[in-house]
Amino acid sequence: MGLNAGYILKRVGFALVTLYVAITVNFLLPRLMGGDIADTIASEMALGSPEVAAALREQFGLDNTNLFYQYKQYLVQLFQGNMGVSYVNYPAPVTEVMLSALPWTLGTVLIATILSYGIGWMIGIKGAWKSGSLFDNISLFVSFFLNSVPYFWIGIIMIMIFSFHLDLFPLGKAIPHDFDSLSFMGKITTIIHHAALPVISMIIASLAGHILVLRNNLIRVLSEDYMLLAKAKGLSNRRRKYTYGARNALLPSFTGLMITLGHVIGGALTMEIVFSYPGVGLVTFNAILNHDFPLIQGAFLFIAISVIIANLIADLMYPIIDPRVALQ
Amino acid sequence: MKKLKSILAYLWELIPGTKGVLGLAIIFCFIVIAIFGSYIAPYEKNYIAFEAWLSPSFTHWLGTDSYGQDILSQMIYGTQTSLLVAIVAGSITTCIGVLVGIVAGYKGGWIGEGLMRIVDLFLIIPTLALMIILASFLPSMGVTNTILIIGLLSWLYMARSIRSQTMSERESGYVEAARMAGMGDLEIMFREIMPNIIPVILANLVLVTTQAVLAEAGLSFLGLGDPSAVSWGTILSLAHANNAVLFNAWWWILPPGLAIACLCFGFILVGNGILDRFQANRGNAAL
Amino acid sequence: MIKNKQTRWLLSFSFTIMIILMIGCTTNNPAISSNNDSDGKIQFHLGETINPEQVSNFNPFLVNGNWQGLFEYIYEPLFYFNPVQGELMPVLAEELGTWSEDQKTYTVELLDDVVWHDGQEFSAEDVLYTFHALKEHKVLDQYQIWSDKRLNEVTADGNTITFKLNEKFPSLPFYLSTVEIVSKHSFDGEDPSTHLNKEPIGTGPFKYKSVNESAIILEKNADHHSHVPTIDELVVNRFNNASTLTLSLEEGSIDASTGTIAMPSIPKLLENSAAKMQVYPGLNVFSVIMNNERPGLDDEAVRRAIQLAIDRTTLIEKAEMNSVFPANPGFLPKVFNEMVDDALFENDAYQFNIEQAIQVLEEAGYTKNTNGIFEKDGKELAFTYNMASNAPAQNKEGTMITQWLQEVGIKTTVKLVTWPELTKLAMSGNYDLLQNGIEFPPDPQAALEVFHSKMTAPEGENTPGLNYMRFSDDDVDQWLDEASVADETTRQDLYKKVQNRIAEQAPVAVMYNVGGHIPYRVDNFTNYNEDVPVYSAISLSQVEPK
Repeated sequence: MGLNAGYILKRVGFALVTLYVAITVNFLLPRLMGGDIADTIASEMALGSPEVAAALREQFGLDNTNLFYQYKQYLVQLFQGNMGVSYVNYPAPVTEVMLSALPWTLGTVLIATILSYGIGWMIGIKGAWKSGSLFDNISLFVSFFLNSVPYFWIGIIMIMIFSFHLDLFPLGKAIPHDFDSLSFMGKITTIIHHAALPVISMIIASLAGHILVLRNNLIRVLSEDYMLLAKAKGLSNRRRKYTYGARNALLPSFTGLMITLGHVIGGALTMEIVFSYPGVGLVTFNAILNHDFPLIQGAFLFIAISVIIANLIADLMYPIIDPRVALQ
Repeated sequence: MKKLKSILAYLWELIPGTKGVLGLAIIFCFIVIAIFGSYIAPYEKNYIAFEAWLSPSFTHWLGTDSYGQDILSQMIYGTQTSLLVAIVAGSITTCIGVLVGIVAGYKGGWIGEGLMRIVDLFLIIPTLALMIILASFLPSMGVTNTILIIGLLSWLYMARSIRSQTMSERESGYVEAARMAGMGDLEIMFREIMPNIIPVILANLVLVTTQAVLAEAGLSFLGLGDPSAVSWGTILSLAHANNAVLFNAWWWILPPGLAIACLCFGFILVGNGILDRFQANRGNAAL
Repeated sequence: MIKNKQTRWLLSFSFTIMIILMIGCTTNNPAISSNNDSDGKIQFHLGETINPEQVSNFNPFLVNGNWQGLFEYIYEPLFYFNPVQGELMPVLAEELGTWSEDQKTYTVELLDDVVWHDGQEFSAEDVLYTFHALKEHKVLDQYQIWSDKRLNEVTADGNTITFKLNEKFPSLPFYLSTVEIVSKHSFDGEDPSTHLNKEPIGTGPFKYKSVNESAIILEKNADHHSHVPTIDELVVNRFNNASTLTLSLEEGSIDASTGTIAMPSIPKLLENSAAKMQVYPGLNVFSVIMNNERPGLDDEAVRRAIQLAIDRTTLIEKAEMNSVFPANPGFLPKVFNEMVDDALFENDAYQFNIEQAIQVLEEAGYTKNTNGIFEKDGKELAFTYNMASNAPAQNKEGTMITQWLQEVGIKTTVKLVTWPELTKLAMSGNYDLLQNGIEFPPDPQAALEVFHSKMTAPEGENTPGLNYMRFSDDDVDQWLDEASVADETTRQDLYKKVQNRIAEQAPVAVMYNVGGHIPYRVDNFTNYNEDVPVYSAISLSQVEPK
C-alpha cells in the first residue's frame, strides 16, 4: 500500500512550517548578538570616522534600524533567492561565498559519513552475530573509548604524527598552490591527498556510534521469534545474517543516516578548524567572529534547508522501505 | 540514616557488572583528585615562572608549557572545572529532559505533540554553532555561562528517549491502577512513572554528562571558554594555539585528551552497565 | 537476497575508496617547496593567513573583502612609508614633494616611463582619477584626506601633481603613502566602491597571475620602472591560522610571512639556523584602555596604580617572545624617531612597581578591606576587564595583568568578547577596562590626537575618533591644536609636553608596541633588504636564490 496522501501532506506541511520558523530564528539570532558592523569596520580601518561608518551603513542597507522593516526586506529578498551581501566579503554576495565553500565540505563529510556508516555496520553486524566473543568485546570497548575522545584531539594528534613528523600528508589546505597547472589526474590525486587526514579522522570519530547502534539493534532483532523460526527451518547462517537480521536491524539506522547526512554541512566545523580546510564550517566560524550577519544567516539557512530536506526524504522513504510505518 | 542506606543500596543495585564497577572506580578517582586538588598539586595554580617547554622530569612530572606553567598542576586544577561543568550541566540537562520527556510522553495529545515539534525544530540547528553564537553573545564567558549554555542546549535527544519510555510505561497496569485510584496527572507522572524509569534516566544522565565534558572541551577549543579558569579543554586549546606540535610537546597534548577520554569512558561504562541490567529485567529500552 | 548484494556492493565501494586514499597517501607530496617548480621558474613562497573572505575582490580602494597586503606588490603609492626607518621613500614620485611658502600647497613630480602591467602608459591622469575617486566616494576615504580642513583640490600639469590644502596639514605626505594609485582605464565605467577588480592592473614589481583556495600567485613585472625582481614568481600561500603557517615555516615549505606567526613558537623556530626574525616598531600600541569616566577610574591615582601594576618587560618576554617593542608610557611609539620623548621609556616613575602602586592608592585615601581590596567611601575598586576571545596570547597577558592588579588590591572580573564586540564596547564606552591595540596612520599628530577631547563622546555615544578612554585635558587639546599647524621643532616640543602629560595622567596603561615581527628563512634565498620590511615589495624584488 505504501504511501497515502494524508501522510505525505502532513510531512511536507511540517517541513514547510519548520522552514519558516528556521528562517525567522535565523533572522533573529545574529541580531541578538548586537554590535554595529559599520562602526567596527570604521574603527578598524578609518580611525573610527563617523562619516565612513554612516557611508558603510548605507552601503549595507542598515540605515533603517526598524527590525520589522529589516525582517520584511529579508523575507522579500530571500524569496527572490537573494541572501544579501556579506559584510566582510563586501561586495561579494553571500550565495557566492557559500557556494565556493560548499563543495569542499560536501565532498569530505559525505565520503566520511558513508564510509563510516559502512564500516560501522560491518563491524556491528559481526559483533552482534558473535555477541560475547572476543571480537565483540574488543569492538565494544574500543567504541566506548572512541566515543569518549574529543574529536579535535584526534585531529591534532593525526596532524602531529602524519603531517609534521612523518610528512606523509600536507599541513592543512585542500589543494597545493600550483593546483591550476596540474593535469586532471594530478588534480584528483592532490585533492584526495589533502582530504585524506580530515576524512580518516572523521571516520574514526563517528565510527563508534554507528557500531554501537547497529550492534544493539541487531542483538534485539536476533532474539525475535522469526529469527528462531528461520533457524529452525534450517536456513543458512549467511542468509539469516544478512537477509533477515541485518535488514531489520538496518531500518532504524537508516533514519539515523539521513539525519546525519542532513547535518553534513554543519558538522564539519571543528574538522575544518583543526585541519584548516576551506569549507562551510570555517566560513561560518569566521562569520560569527566577524559579526557578519548576512553570512551567518546564509550559512544557517544552508544548514537548516539541508537538514529539513534530509528529514523529509527520510520520512517519505520510510513507509516504502517499511510499510508498517504508514499504517500507524 | 536507614533510608539513606537503602537508597544507596538501591543505587548500587542499579550499577552492576564489572563494566559498571570499573566505570565507577574511574569516576571516583577523578572526584578524589578534584576534591583534594589543592593538596595534591605540586605547584600553585597559574604559577607561570618556570622555564617554558621543559619536558617531563622529576620536578615537573608532565613538563611545562609555553608560559612556564607546570602541566601536572594545571591538569589537577583542571579536573575541578571539568568535573564541575560536567556534573552541573549534566544535571540541568537531565532535569529539563526528564520534565519534557515525561510530560510529552504521558500527556500525549497536542501538548506532547507540540513539545516534540519544538524538540524537532531545535534539532535542526547545529548545537555547536548555536553554542558559539550564544557564547559570543553573552556578556561574559565564565564557568557559569559555559554550564548554562551546555545545560540548556543538550536535552533534546534525552527528552525523546524519556518520552518513548514513558509512552510504553503509560500502557502498563500500574498506571491504569493509579488512575483508577484517582491519582492526579502530576502524581502519576512523578510518583508512579518516574521511579519506574529511573534506570533509563540514570543512563541518560550519564550520557549527557559525557557530552557536557566533551562540549566544554569543544567550546574551550574554539576559544570560547573562560580564560581565567583552568580546564582540560583550555589546556588542550592552549596547546593547540601555542603550537605544541612544533615543539613536539606530547606531554602537553596527550594528558588533557586522555583525561577527558578516561572520564567519559568511565561514565559510558556506568551508563552501559545500568542499561544492560534494565534490559535484562524489562526487555527493550530505547536510548 | 537483495540486501546481500547491497552489502557486498557497499563493501567493494568502501574498498575502492580506501585504495584511492592509499594511492593518495603514497604519491609524493607535490606541495613541498623548492626554489624551482617543474618549469625551472624561481618561486618565492610567502605565507599569510588569508581567509576566504579576503579574496572576494582585488580592489585596493575597499577596506574589506580583500587582503590589503597583496596590494603592496601589485600597486604602488606615490610614497612608501618604511616602518623600519620611520621615513617616507618615493615610489611613483621622483623624490619627496616640496611645500610652498605658506605650507598650503604640496607639489610632487611623477616618474617618467612607468607602464601599467597591461602595457598602457602611466600618467598624471591616473593619479588624478585615484584621488578624485576618494573625493567622490566618502566611504573610500579612510583617513579623510578630503575633509574640510585638509585637501581642497588636486591638479596636474604634465608630470607635476599639485595638492592644494584648505589649512596647513604638515602630515599630508604620510597620508599620501596610504593611497595606492590605480589605473584609470581599468576602473573606467566602474563604481570604485563596488568594483570587484578581479584582474588587478598595477605598476608594482609583481603582476597578478591567479588565485585558488591555497595560494595567490604573482609573477614578476619584467618592465618595472626601478627594479625588476630576480624571482620569477611570488607565491602567497594562504593559511587560515597562525599555527599551521608556523609549522609550514618550520618545515621550510614557505620562506617568509608578512608578520603572522604563532608567538610562542618563536624561540623554537629561531633554534633553526635557517630561520631569522626581523623586528621593528610600528603603528599599533597594545594597552589596557581605561574608561576615564567610570567611578574609580576617574581618579588619577587609580589609573596610576594600574599603570604601575603592569610589568611590561615580563609581558614582552613571556607572552610576546621579545618580538614587540617596549611601549612609551607617553604613548608615542619609537617609529616616530625624534618626535618621541625617549626619556619616558626609562623613567623610574613609570616602571612596574607593586609597592609604589599600593602607596599611590594609600596616599589618595584608599584603604584595604577584609578581602584585601582597596576601597574608599565604601566603594571597592572592582572593575570588569574585557579582552578578545580566541586569542591565546592576549588571554594569557590578561590573566597576568589581572593577577598583578589583584596583588595591588584591585579586583577584576574577566569578560571575553569577540574582536568586533571589543571595538564596539570601546567606542560606546560601555566598559571599565579593555585590553586591545590602538592603531593609527603613520603620523605622530594622528597618534597623539587619540587623546584629543574632540575625538571622544560621552558614554553611550560612539566616539568619533579613537579616544576610547574618554580622556580630556585642556592643555593637551591646546598643544595638539598648535602642533597641527606648527613647524617641525615646535611640534617636537609640543609633542613632548603631550607625552609627559599622558604618562602622568595615565589615561591608558600601555603594554607594548607592535610593529613588525617578520619570520623569514635564509636557506633558499639571500639578499633580503633589511632596511625595509623583508617581505616588502622592495626587498622581495632583490632576493635571489642561493
